[in-house]
Amino acid sequence: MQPDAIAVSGLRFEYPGVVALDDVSLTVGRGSVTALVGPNGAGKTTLLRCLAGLDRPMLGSVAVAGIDVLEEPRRAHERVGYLSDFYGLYDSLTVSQCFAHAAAAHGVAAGGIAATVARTADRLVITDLLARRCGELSRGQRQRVAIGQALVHSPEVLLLDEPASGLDPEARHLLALLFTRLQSEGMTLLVSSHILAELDEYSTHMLVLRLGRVIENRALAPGSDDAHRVRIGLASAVPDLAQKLAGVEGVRVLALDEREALIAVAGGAGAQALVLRALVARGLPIASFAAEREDLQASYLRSVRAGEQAR
Amino acid sequence: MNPELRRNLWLDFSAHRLIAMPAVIALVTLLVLALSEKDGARHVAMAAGFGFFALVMVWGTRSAAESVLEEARSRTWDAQRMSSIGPWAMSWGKLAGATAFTWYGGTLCLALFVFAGAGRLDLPVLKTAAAMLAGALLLHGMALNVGLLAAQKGLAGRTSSGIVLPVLVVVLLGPATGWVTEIKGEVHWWGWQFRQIDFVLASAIVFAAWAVFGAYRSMCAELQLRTAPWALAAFLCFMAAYLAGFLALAPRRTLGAADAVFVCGLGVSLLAGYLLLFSERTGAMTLRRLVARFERRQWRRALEELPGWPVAIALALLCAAGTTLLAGRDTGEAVREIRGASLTLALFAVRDAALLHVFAFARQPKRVEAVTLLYLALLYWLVPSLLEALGAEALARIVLPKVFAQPGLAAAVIAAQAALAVTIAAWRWRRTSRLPA
Repeated sequence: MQPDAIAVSGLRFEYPGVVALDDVSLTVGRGSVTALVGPNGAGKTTLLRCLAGLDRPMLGSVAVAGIDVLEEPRRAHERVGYLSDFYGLYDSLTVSQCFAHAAAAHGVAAGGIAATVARTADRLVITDLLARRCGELSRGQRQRVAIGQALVHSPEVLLLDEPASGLDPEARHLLALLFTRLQSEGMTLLVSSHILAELDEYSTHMLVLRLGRVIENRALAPGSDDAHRVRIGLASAVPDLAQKLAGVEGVRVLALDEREALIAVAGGAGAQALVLRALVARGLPIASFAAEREDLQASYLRSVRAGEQAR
Repeated sequence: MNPELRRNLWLDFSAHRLIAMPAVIALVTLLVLALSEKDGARHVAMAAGFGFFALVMVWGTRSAAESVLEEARSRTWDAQRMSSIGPWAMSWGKLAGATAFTWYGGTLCLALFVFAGAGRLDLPVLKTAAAMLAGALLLHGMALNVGLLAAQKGLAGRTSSGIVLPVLVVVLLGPATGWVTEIKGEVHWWGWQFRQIDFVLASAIVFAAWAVFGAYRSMCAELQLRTAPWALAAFLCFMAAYLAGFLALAPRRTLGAADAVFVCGLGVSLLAGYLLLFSERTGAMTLRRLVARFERRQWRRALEELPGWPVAIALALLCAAGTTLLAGRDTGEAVREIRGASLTLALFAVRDAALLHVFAFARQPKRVEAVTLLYLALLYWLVPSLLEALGAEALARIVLPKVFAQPGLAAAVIAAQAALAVTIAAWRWRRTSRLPA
């Protein structure tokens, strides 16, 4: 069995007077796109830098792509890509040279560099920029070049800190398509961003950090893990809807009024079919019964509220 | 090709620059020839030597330091650190790449120096050229090392001139002083006699190797590769043995070999200790990391994360103990004075390191080094001078005892001061390290 793409255990990182990461333990499955969310100062960037092997934690262990980052950072770097939120480019070099340097620096063989540069430019839809110097590019174009440098060596794990900042809506959409494609190719992505709507387009999992601690780390997509949210629409108002739903096995009510309910169903499509049958048997006038993907904003706020209640 | 070397070649070499450099050198050569009434070739050789100095030793040294500092300023350094280029490849790629253009011009100058100077200059031209090459590599290695230390310390925003200038001055002043020579053109070292140029050449090669190795070790730290601090200890031991060679076994010297090694070891360890104390990352976080390692019995990691200054000060204390143990031997008044003062000198370093940490352990430490220097100026100069001026001689000696005249009292006073500084630093550290749960 292949190890998790990312496995962190007991990670602690301190700045003077501040615990940036406090006993953080988590795993990220292979082939997932995990949205790393949390308020400013939650420790997102510090976590990404520790995963990338750029900062050494005070305590704990970090394994990325099965490699102990603290023991073998250079070997890990062959299989990890990282885009910092404050990145820089070599302004005097062309985009092609930047990609070629990044590829060579990540161990791509000399014979494969030209093809790697072309493939990366194609992925980022910037083939027409290859001959341009980075210093001449717009902010959005620079952002795409920086992302290209991070993934030029087709890493197993890609860590991105605010990758869409500075991008226009069209470029953001292209980025979402790129991330979805990278995921379909088997790459694991961990993406930190404040723009939850943007993360919503491609994230399969959500990792919530708050005050240096993991509040939640779970799947978002329907059909996986515990996130089987179903919205029920009723043809007519049912005043005692709550009581009728309460007795159904495997159902947890998330929200409801007399005409509509949002429930969580424990299990996959089979369990949902059983629940639907039970609801019909109880005489509920079901007009619609649809699995619903919770948007990231709502999911995040729910996690934060749950975390605050737990405290 | 080394990716870092190739990137630098892309940045620095254009057709225009490739043509411009030899063209400028040719024009300067013609100017020197035109201005020379006689011995034109000799003047050309001297100008070429100066050209090498300006291009490779000054400009190249600055470029070597900038190779890291500029990347840190431009925020490209993290991407480099994220690459899979190893520390050795990154070190030599930067050393050769960042200075490649200066070497291009410097090589032309050096060739001119050799061809024009052969038989015309009053020195062995080839050996001098080799020493210049090794000297330039020494400077570049040191500059890269200093640049890495500055980047680690978050000083990349400062101009490299301020960082590199001291390196240039120290390295170029060394051979210029000529104190190593007893007889003109000859060097006595560990009882052997060498021609000065041979000794300078061999020294430059060995020190260049140490400088490049030092840059490699700093690069290891910057790339998060873990290394135990044996290299620093080895370098200080080498320096002690190297410098002791000038003091021991030479004609008219009364210093024994062991005396010389311990005395020189004390000197270089103290110098290195202070340099590292003020250049390495210090503060509560460094100590917290170490304490965390010790608490979990992670001895190897603790050793790997140990800063260099405690290693240097520990060596200074060992050398002080060594000189004290040799106290029974009669080796002249000067040596007796050094022996008596050696422990006090090492204790000064302990006190000053503790003083720096008193400020470094503040909740929000600011300008730790500058504040420490201010307080050191007060302790070493202003307060004792003021007390002496006011006639409070006894009080002045409690602040700054007479190290050579009253060695026993001085050691006791400075030991007490060191204990007080360590106590205050420990108290501040405990207070700072109480983090919110």
